[in-house]
Amino acid sequence: MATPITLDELLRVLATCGAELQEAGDDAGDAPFEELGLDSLALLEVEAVLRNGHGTELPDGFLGRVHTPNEFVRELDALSQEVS
Amino acid sequence: MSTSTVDTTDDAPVFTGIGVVAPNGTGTEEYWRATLEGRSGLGPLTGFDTDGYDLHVAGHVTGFDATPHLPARVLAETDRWTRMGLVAAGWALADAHAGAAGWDPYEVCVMTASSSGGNELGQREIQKLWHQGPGQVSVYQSIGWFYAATTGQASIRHGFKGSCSVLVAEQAGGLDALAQARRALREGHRAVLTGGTEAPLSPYAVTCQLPTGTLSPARDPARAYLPFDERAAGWVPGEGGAMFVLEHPRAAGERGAPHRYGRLAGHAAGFAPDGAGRRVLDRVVRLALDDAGLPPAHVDAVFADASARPGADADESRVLADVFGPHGVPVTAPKTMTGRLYAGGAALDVAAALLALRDQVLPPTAGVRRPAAHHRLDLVLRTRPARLRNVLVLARGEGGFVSACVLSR
Repeated sequence: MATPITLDELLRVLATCGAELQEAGDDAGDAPFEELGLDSLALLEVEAVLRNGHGTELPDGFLGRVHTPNEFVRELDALSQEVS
Repeated sequence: MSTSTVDTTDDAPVFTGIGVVAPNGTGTEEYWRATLEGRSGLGPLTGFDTDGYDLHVAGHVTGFDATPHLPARVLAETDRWTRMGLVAAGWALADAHAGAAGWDPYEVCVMTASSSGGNELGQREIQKLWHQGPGQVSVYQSIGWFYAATTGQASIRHGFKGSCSVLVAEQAGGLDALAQARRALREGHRAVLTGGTEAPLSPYAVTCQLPTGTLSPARDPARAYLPFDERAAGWVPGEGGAMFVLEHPRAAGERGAPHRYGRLAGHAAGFAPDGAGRRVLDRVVRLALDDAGLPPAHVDAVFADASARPGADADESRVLADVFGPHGVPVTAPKTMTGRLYAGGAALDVAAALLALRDQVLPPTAGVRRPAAHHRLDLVLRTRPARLRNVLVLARGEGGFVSACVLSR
């Protein structure tokens, strides 16, 4: 199920998966995942942590469509509205 | 006898950087100071409930924290063994002033040794698989546990895009990695980040070692690992290792590399089936000397494999007596202060041998009080000043691996 998530929650998850948030500072929300040090493997880890820790199941192809944390949050929010 | 070094090895690679993470010292000079002072890093096996494990003494690297040295992403992806390798690699590169070398990334290689991979990370994730199901297993299991992880992470971290590989030959791998590095330099590469580390002190890793019957059951760290001693009863494992920058001598000269610790003058490797250990070791030692273009009389010291299993010790001492004459060359085993670090062990011996060449001093074989007379060795029991031009490093890996290398000033 596509449960929405706040930017702060997402950033916390990204940090546990090795994201480098300090350098980006307040702009982390709009930084591309690669700039945060997250490669494709790291994003798979993010997907697993969200599923196991937050009960948030990302739909197929979701990670290919979003490129920054803010896009991630907006897209997930839109999907959850569609479902409900 | 000529006193000059026979030099048929103009293209012998030169060691220009060293980084050490060892049970008795983290950082090259800290390790070396402890080693010359005879300070041991052996202590009780800790870190988990050790009830039921017939191993009580180990060489832990205490106080090693990779956090200030490595980015969070790399920490999330790596086992302790890789973290030690990356930190040591960083120190070796800094020592070599590699940042100012102006290397073409495609001319720099990474070749490390590992004999058991990411034990702790692998165990943790397999436990998750078993108890919580496949969905809970970290994706980093896919890249963190396997032998090539340290080489791969170092290549990515430093942008070295030349030939990359990992050597898996237990203790001998630390020397074989250097031989592989030499091959790459002969093929035209400029520099190689090489060496080896190991972190074999987690429960799964210890469990894998127990059935070999080679580990010392002793409980007293001062008596647990006594090679060539009357009381020799097996070895204790330790963690850590050493990394090096090895360069083509011309390339090192052109860029004015600040340190030249020594040259890799010779190497040989063999494989010994059961019962052939002594014959193969004898041949490997002679081949390594031939490769270096040196007669036995020009070898000034031997860093022994020093298994501390009575039969394997007898094989080694007999070979040394046959090649160099009884009591014919100083023999030492500073690994008595760290335990055997497997892939990291021979690499650490190479670091000690290079520092011995630099400082013209031999580190001691710590703890040995009663060398068995039948070994006929000039065993270095106390730190000893020595005139050192060429030293021989020996390594035998469980299963039959046998390697030797000659390091020269």
